[in-house]
Amino acid sequence: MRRVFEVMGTAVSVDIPNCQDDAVFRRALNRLRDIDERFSTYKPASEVSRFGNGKLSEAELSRELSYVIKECRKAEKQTGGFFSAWAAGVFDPSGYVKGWAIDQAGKAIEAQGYKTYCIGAGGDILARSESDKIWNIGVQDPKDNTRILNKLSISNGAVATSGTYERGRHIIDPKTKKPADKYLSVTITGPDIVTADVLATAVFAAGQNNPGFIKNFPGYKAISVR
Amino acid sequence: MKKGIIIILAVAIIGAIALHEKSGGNPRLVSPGSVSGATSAVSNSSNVTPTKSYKDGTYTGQTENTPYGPVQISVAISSGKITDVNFLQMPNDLGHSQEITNFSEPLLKQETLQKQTAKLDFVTGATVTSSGYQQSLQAALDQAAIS
Repeated sequence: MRRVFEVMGTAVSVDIPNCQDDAVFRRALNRLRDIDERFSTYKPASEVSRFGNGKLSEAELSRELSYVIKECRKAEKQTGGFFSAWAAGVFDPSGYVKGWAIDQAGKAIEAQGYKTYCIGAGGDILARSESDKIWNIGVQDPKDNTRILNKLSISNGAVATSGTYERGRHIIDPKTKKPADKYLSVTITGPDIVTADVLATAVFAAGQNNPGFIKNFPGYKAISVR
Repeated sequence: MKKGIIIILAVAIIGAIALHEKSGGNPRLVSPGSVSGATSAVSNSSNVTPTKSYKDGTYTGQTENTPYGPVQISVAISSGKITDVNFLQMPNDLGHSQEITNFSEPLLKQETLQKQTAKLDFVTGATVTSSGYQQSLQAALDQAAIS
Protein backbone atom coordinates (compact mmCIF):
# COMPACT_ATOMS: atom_id res chain seq x y z
CA MET A 1 0.00 0.00 0.00
CA ARG A 2 0.96 3.60 -0.27
CA ARG A 3 1.16 6.32 2.36
CA VAL A 4 2.00 10.02 2.13
CA PHE A 5 3.58 11.90 5.00
CA GLU A 6 4.36 15.54 5.50
CA VAL A 7 7.84 15.86 6.88
CA MET A 8 10.99 17.89 6.13
CA GLY A 9 8.81 20.63 4.65
CA THR A 10 7.68 18.39 1.84
CA ALA A 11 5.44 15.44 1.09
CA VAL A 12 7.02 12.02 1.23
CA SER A 13 5.25 9.25 -0.67
CA VAL A 14 6.04 5.69 0.31
CA ASP A 15 4.81 2.65 -1.59
CA ILE A 16 5.39 -0.86 -0.27
CA PRO A 17 3.30 -3.12 -2.48
CA ASN A 18 3.29 -6.15 -0.20
CA CYS A 19 2.80 -4.31 3.05
CA GLN A 20 -0.51 -3.62 4.78
CA ASP A 21 1.05 -2.72 8.11
CA ASP A 22 0.99 0.95 9.07
CA ALA A 23 3.70 0.40 11.66
CA VAL A 24 6.23 -0.35 8.93
CA PHE A 25 5.54 3.02 7.30
CA ARG A 26 5.61 4.76 10.67
CA ARG A 27 9.13 3.55 11.45
CA ALA A 28 10.35 5.01 8.17
CA LEU A 29 8.53 8.25 8.97
CA ASN A 30 10.07 8.38 12.44
CA ARG A 31 13.53 8.08 10.94
CA LEU A 32 12.76 11.03 8.63
CA ARG A 33 11.45 13.07 11.55
CA ASP A 34 14.56 12.39 13.62
CA ILE A 35 16.75 13.49 10.73
CA ASP A 36 14.66 16.62 10.26
CA GLU A 37 14.97 17.49 13.97
CA ARG A 38 18.72 17.32 13.75
CA PHE A 39 19.34 18.74 10.27
CA SER A 40 16.61 21.30 9.61
CA THR A 41 17.94 24.76 8.89
CA TYR A 42 14.47 26.12 9.61
CA LYS A 43 14.51 25.00 13.24
CA PRO A 44 16.62 27.29 15.43
CA ALA A 45 17.17 24.52 17.98
CA SER A 46 18.37 21.93 15.50
CA GLU A 47 21.94 20.77 15.76
CA VAL A 48 22.65 22.13 12.28
CA SER A 49 21.32 25.57 13.23
CA ARG A 50 23.34 25.65 16.43
CA PHE A 51 26.44 24.59 14.54
CA GLY A 52 25.73 27.19 11.86
CA ASN A 53 25.44 30.07 14.31
CA GLY A 54 28.53 29.02 16.23
CA LYS A 55 26.82 27.72 19.36
CA LEU A 56 28.32 24.29 18.77
CA SER A 57 31.87 23.63 17.76
CA GLU A 58 32.76 20.84 15.39
CA ALA A 59 34.23 18.84 18.26
CA GLU A 60 30.86 18.85 20.04
CA LEU A 61 28.81 17.47 17.18
CA SER A 62 26.91 14.21 17.04
CA ARG A 63 28.34 11.37 15.03
CA GLU A 64 25.58 11.82 12.43
CA LEU A 65 26.26 15.50 11.82
CA SER A 66 30.00 14.90 11.76
CA TYR A 67 29.40 12.23 9.14
CA VAL A 68 27.24 14.54 7.00
CA ILE A 69 29.80 17.35 7.19
CA LYS A 70 32.51 14.93 6.12
CA GLU A 71 30.36 13.66 3.22
CA CYS A 72 29.49 17.21 2.14
CA ARG A 73 33.19 18.06 1.97
CA LYS A 74 33.80 14.91 -0.04
CA ALA A 75 30.93 15.72 -2.45
CA GLU A 76 32.26 19.25 -2.90
CA LYS A 77 35.66 17.89 -3.81
CA GLN A 78 34.27 15.25 -6.17
CA THR A 79 32.07 17.76 -8.00
CA GLY A 80 34.86 20.25 -8.47
CA GLY A 81 33.10 22.61 -6.08
CA PHE A 82 29.78 22.69 -7.93
CA PHE A 83 28.05 21.02 -5.04
CA SER A 84 28.75 22.95 -1.88
CA ALA A 85 26.97 22.91 1.45
CA TRP A 86 28.59 26.31 1.94
CA ALA A 87 27.34 27.80 -1.36
CA ALA A 88 25.14 30.37 0.36
CA GLY A 89 27.86 31.41 2.81
CA VAL A 90 26.56 29.53 5.85
CA PHE A 91 26.61 25.78 6.28
CA ASP A 92 23.43 24.35 4.80
CA PRO A 93 23.61 20.60 4.14
CA SER A 94 19.98 20.37 2.92
CA GLY A 95 21.12 19.43 -0.57
CA TYR A 96 22.86 16.41 0.85
CA VAL A 97 20.49 15.56 3.68
CA LYS A 98 17.36 15.12 1.57
CA GLY A 99 18.81 12.26 -0.44
CA TRP A 100 20.48 10.80 2.60
CA ALA A 101 17.22 10.94 4.58
CA ILE A 102 15.42 9.00 1.85
CA ASP A 103 18.23 6.47 1.85
CA GLN A 104 17.87 6.11 5.61
CA ALA A 105 14.09 5.71 5.37
CA GLY A 106 14.68 2.97 2.80
CA LYS A 107 17.05 1.20 5.17
CA ALA A 108 14.39 1.40 7.89
CA ILE A 109 11.91 -0.31 5.56
CA GLU A 110 14.41 -2.97 4.56
CA ALA A 111 15.25 -3.66 8.20
CA GLN A 112 11.64 -4.72 8.62
CA GLY A 113 11.92 -7.29 5.87
CA TYR A 114 10.51 -5.38 2.89
CA LYS A 115 12.83 -5.27 -0.11
CA THR A 116 10.37 -4.01 -2.72
CA TYR A 117 9.37 -0.41 -2.19
CA CYS A 118 9.57 3.07 -3.61
CA ILE A 119 10.02 6.37 -1.81
CA GLY A 120 9.44 9.72 -3.45
CA ALA A 121 10.18 13.03 -1.78
CA GLY A 122 10.45 16.39 -3.49
CA GLY A 123 11.69 15.04 -6.79
CA ASP A 124 13.98 12.40 -5.29
CA ILE A 125 12.96 8.83 -5.86
CA LEU A 126 14.45 5.64 -4.46
CA ALA A 127 13.17 2.47 -6.12
CA ARG A 128 13.84 -1.03 -4.89
CA SER A 129 12.55 -4.28 -6.26
CA GLU A 130 13.24 -7.83 -5.25
CA SER A 131 10.40 -9.15 -7.36
CA ASP A 132 9.43 -8.45 -10.96
CA LYS A 133 7.99 -5.11 -9.91
CA ILE A 134 9.15 -2.34 -12.23
CA TRP A 135 8.69 1.22 -11.02
CA ASN A 136 7.57 3.64 -13.72
CA ILE A 137 8.85 7.15 -13.07
CA GLY A 138 7.65 10.15 -15.02
CA VAL A 139 10.05 13.03 -15.61
CA GLN A 140 8.05 16.19 -15.14
CA ASP A 141 8.08 18.94 -17.75
CA PRO A 142 9.65 21.96 -16.02
CA LYS A 143 7.50 24.26 -18.12
CA ASP A 144 4.24 22.54 -17.24
CA ASN A 145 3.96 20.55 -14.04
CA THR A 146 0.93 18.67 -15.30
CA ARG A 147 3.00 17.10 -18.07
CA ILE A 148 5.73 14.55 -18.33
CA LEU A 149 8.61 14.58 -20.79
CA ASN A 150 9.73 11.01 -20.51
CA LYS A 151 9.24 7.85 -18.57
CA LEU A 152 11.93 5.87 -16.81
CA SER A 153 11.24 2.28 -15.84
CA ILE A 154 13.45 1.16 -13.02
CA SER A 155 13.66 -1.90 -10.81
CA ASN A 156 16.49 -0.83 -8.54
CA GLY A 157 17.87 2.65 -8.70
CA ALA A 158 17.49 6.29 -7.86
CA VAL A 159 16.25 9.38 -9.65
CA ALA A 160 16.75 12.97 -8.51
CA THR A 161 15.69 16.26 -10.08
CA SER A 162 16.94 19.74 -9.35
CA GLY A 163 15.43 22.85 -10.80
CA THR A 164 14.13 26.29 -10.12
CA TYR A 165 10.63 25.86 -11.24
CA GLU A 166 9.15 26.51 -7.87
CA ARG A 167 8.78 30.18 -7.15
CA GLY A 168 11.54 31.67 -5.11
CA ARG A 169 13.73 28.61 -5.10
CA HIS A 170 17.21 28.93 -6.44
CA ILE A 171 20.27 26.79 -6.66
CA ILE A 172 23.28 28.98 -6.10
CA ASP A 173 26.30 28.39 -8.27
CA PRO A 174 29.01 28.11 -5.60
CA LYS A 175 31.53 29.65 -8.01
CA THR A 176 29.67 32.81 -8.87
CA LYS A 177 27.41 32.94 -5.78
CA LYS A 178 24.57 33.73 -8.17
CA PRO A 179 21.50 31.63 -8.97
CA ALA A 180 22.23 29.07 -11.68
CA ASP A 181 19.90 29.69 -14.60
CA LYS A 182 21.12 27.77 -17.60
CA TYR A 183 18.72 24.87 -17.12
CA LEU A 184 15.12 24.56 -16.08
CA SER A 185 15.72 21.15 -14.61
CA VAL A 186 18.34 18.45 -14.33
CA THR A 187 17.32 14.86 -13.66
CA ILE A 188 19.92 12.29 -12.68
CA THR A 189 19.51 8.52 -12.65
CA GLY A 190 21.90 6.14 -10.98
CA PRO A 191 22.32 3.47 -8.35
CA ASP A 192 22.39 5.63 -5.25
CA ILE A 193 19.93 8.37 -4.21
CA VAL A 194 22.44 10.40 -2.21
CA THR A 195 24.83 10.64 -5.13
CA ALA A 196 22.03 11.24 -7.65
CA ASP A 197 20.73 14.13 -5.55
CA VAL A 198 24.16 15.69 -5.14
CA LEU A 199 24.81 15.36 -8.88
CA ALA A 200 21.46 16.91 -9.81
CA THR A 201 22.41 19.98 -7.80
CA ALA A 202 25.98 20.05 -9.09
CA VAL A 203 25.12 19.63 -12.80
CA PHE A 204 22.39 22.26 -12.44
CA ALA A 205 24.80 24.67 -10.77
CA ALA A 206 27.52 23.96 -13.32
CA GLY A 207 25.03 24.73 -16.08
CA GLN A 208 26.84 22.54 -18.55
CA ASN A 209 25.96 19.10 -19.71
CA ASN A 210 29.45 17.75 -19.66
CA PRO A 211 31.16 19.04 -16.54
CA GLY A 212 34.58 17.61 -15.88
CA PHE A 213 33.63 16.10 -12.56
CA ILE A 214 31.29 13.62 -14.24
CA LYS A 215 34.16 11.19 -14.64
CA ASN A 216 34.09 10.68 -10.89
CA PHE A 217 30.59 9.20 -11.08
CA PRO A 218 30.32 6.08 -13.21
CA GLY A 219 26.79 4.71 -13.54
CA TYR A 220 24.99 8.05 -13.48
CA LYS A 221 23.10 9.62 -16.34
CA ALA A 222 21.48 13.04 -16.72
CA ILE A 223 18.48 14.41 -18.57
CA SER A 224 18.78 18.18 -18.57
CA VAL A 225 16.06 20.48 -19.82
CA ARG A 226 16.30 24.09 -20.78
CA MET B 1 5.74 27.97 -30.26
CA LYS B 2 9.14 28.19 -28.74
CA LYS B 3 10.52 24.74 -28.47
CA GLY B 4 12.56 23.78 -25.50
CA ILE B 5 15.73 21.88 -25.72
CA ILE B 6 16.53 18.71 -23.94
CA ILE B 7 20.10 17.97 -23.36
CA ILE B 8 20.73 14.34 -22.87
CA LEU B 9 23.90 13.66 -21.08
CA ALA B 10 25.35 10.24 -21.08
CA VAL B 11 27.12 10.77 -17.83
CA ALA B 12 28.51 7.31 -17.56
CA ILE B 13 28.07 3.96 -19.00
CA ILE B 14 28.37 1.33 -16.40
CA GLY B 15 25.26 0.94 -14.32
CA ALA B 16 24.30 -1.22 -11.45
CA ILE B 17 20.92 0.30 -12.08
CA ALA B 18 18.60 -1.70 -14.26
CA LEU B 19 16.94 0.74 -16.59
CA HIS B 20 14.06 -0.71 -18.47
CA GLU B 21 12.54 1.08 -21.33
CA LYS B 22 9.18 -0.01 -22.38
CA SER B 23 8.79 -0.90 -26.00
CA GLY B 24 5.48 -2.07 -27.29
CA GLY B 25 3.75 -4.15 -24.67
CA ASN B 26 6.63 -5.83 -22.94
CA PRO B 27 9.32 -4.29 -20.81
CA ARG B 28 12.68 -4.58 -22.42
CA LEU B 29 15.81 -4.45 -20.39
CA VAL B 30 18.10 -1.75 -21.61
CA SER B 31 21.24 -1.22 -19.68
CA PRO B 32 22.71 2.26 -19.79
CA GLY B 33 25.67 0.64 -21.50
CA SER B 34 23.69 -0.64 -24.41
CA VAL B 35 21.86 2.65 -24.73
CA SER B 36 24.97 4.72 -24.86
CA GLY B 37 26.86 2.16 -26.86
CA ALA B 38 24.93 3.16 -29.94
CA THR B 39 26.71 5.39 -32.36
CA SER B 40 23.85 6.79 -34.29
CA ALA B 41 20.62 8.21 -33.29
CA VAL B 42 17.66 11.01 -33.66
CA SER B 43 14.45 11.47 -35.15
CA ASN B 44 12.75 14.70 -34.62
CA SER B 45 9.09 14.98 -34.12
CA SER B 46 8.34 15.31 -37.80
CA ASN B 47 8.84 11.61 -38.24
CA VAL B 48 6.57 10.60 -35.46
CA THR B 49 4.14 13.43 -34.95
CA PRO B 50 0.93 11.66 -34.15
CA THR B 51 -2.27 12.29 -35.93
CA LYS B 52 -5.68 11.02 -35.08
CA SER B 53 -5.32 8.44 -37.79
CA TYR B 54 -2.34 6.73 -36.20
CA LYS B 55 -2.65 3.03 -35.82
CA ASP B 56 -1.56 1.27 -32.68
CA GLY B 57 2.00 0.11 -32.54
CA THR B 58 5.52 1.26 -31.83
CA TYR B 59 6.93 3.78 -34.26
CA THR B 60 10.63 4.23 -34.55
CA GLY B 61 11.95 7.45 -35.97
CA GLN B 62 14.85 7.70 -38.32
CA THR B 63 18.25 8.34 -36.95
CA GLU B 64 19.02 11.99 -37.30
CA ASN B 65 22.19 13.92 -36.82
CA THR B 66 22.00 16.95 -34.64
CA PRO B 67 24.84 19.41 -34.18
CA TYR B 68 25.54 17.57 -30.97
CA GLY B 69 25.31 14.02 -32.20
CA PRO B 70 22.87 11.46 -33.48
CA VAL B 71 19.68 10.52 -31.66
CA GLN B 72 16.84 8.17 -32.33
CA ILE B 73 13.55 7.81 -30.51
CA SER B 74 10.53 5.59 -30.69
CA VAL B 75 6.95 6.33 -29.81
CA ALA B 76 4.33 3.82 -28.74
CA ILE B 77 0.76 4.42 -29.86
CA SER B 78 -2.16 2.76 -28.15
CA SER B 79 -5.81 3.50 -28.91
CA GLY B 80 -4.62 6.24 -31.22
CA LYS B 81 -2.77 8.01 -28.40
CA ILE B 82 0.88 8.21 -27.58
CA THR B 83 1.55 6.06 -24.57
CA ASP B 84 5.29 6.15 -24.47
CA VAL B 85 8.35 7.91 -25.81
CA ASN B 86 11.66 6.12 -25.63
CA PHE B 87 15.20 7.05 -26.38
CA LEU B 88 16.51 4.18 -28.43
CA GLN B 89 19.96 5.42 -29.06
CA MET B 90 22.20 7.83 -27.39
CA PRO B 91 25.80 8.63 -28.13
CA ASN B 92 28.58 6.66 -26.56
CA ASP B 93 31.00 9.50 -26.39
CA LEU B 94 30.91 10.85 -22.88
CA GLY B 95 32.73 13.95 -24.00
CA HIS B 96 29.91 15.05 -26.25
CA SER B 97 26.46 15.44 -24.87
CA GLN B 98 23.32 15.78 -26.89
CA GLU B 99 21.16 18.77 -27.45
CA ILE B 100 17.90 17.66 -28.89
CA THR B 101 14.97 19.76 -29.90
CA ASN B 102 12.32 19.00 -27.40
CA PHE B 103 10.43 16.48 -29.43
CA SER B 104 8.63 14.92 -26.54
CA GLU B 105 6.83 18.08 -25.54
CA PRO B 106 4.75 18.61 -28.65
CA LEU B 107 4.06 14.92 -28.78
CA LEU B 108 2.98 14.58 -25.22
CA LYS B 109 0.96 17.78 -25.28
CA GLN B 110 -1.59 15.89 -27.27
CA GLU B 111 -2.21 13.42 -24.56
CA THR B 112 -4.62 13.86 -21.77
CA LEU B 113 -3.26 13.99 -18.26
CA GLN B 114 -5.03 10.77 -17.47
CA LYS B 115 -3.42 8.94 -20.34
CA GLN B 116 -0.01 10.16 -19.40
CA THR B 117 -0.16 9.17 -15.78
CA ALA B 118 -2.02 5.91 -16.23
CA LYS B 119 1.12 3.84 -16.17
CA LEU B 120 3.22 5.89 -13.80
CA ASP B 121 4.06 5.10 -10.17
CA PHE B 122 5.99 8.23 -9.26
CA VAL B 123 7.00 11.56 -10.77
CA THR B 124 10.32 13.35 -10.47
CA GLY B 125 10.40 17.10 -10.74
CA ALA B 126 11.70 20.14 -8.92
CA THR B 127 8.55 20.46 -6.84
CA VAL B 128 9.78 20.33 -3.31
CA THR B 129 7.46 22.22 -0.98
CA SER B 130 4.26 20.88 0.51
CA SER B 131 2.22 23.49 -1.32
CA GLY B 132 3.91 22.65 -4.58
CA TYR B 133 3.14 19.01 -3.94
CA GLN B 134 -0.59 19.70 -3.70
CA GLN B 135 -0.56 20.85 -7.32
CA SER B 136 1.69 18.11 -8.61
CA LEU B 137 1.25 14.99 -10.65
CA GLN B 138 2.78 13.10 -7.75
CA ALA B 139 -0.16 14.11 -5.56
CA ALA B 140 -2.59 12.89 -8.19
CA LEU B 141 -0.77 9.57 -8.44
CA ASP B 142 -0.73 9.19 -4.66
CA GLN B 143 -4.45 9.88 -4.44
CA ALA B 144 -5.13 7.29 -7.07
CA ALA B 145 -2.93 4.73 -5.31
CA ILE B 146 -4.38 5.31 -1.86
CA SER B 147 -8.04 5.54 -2.68
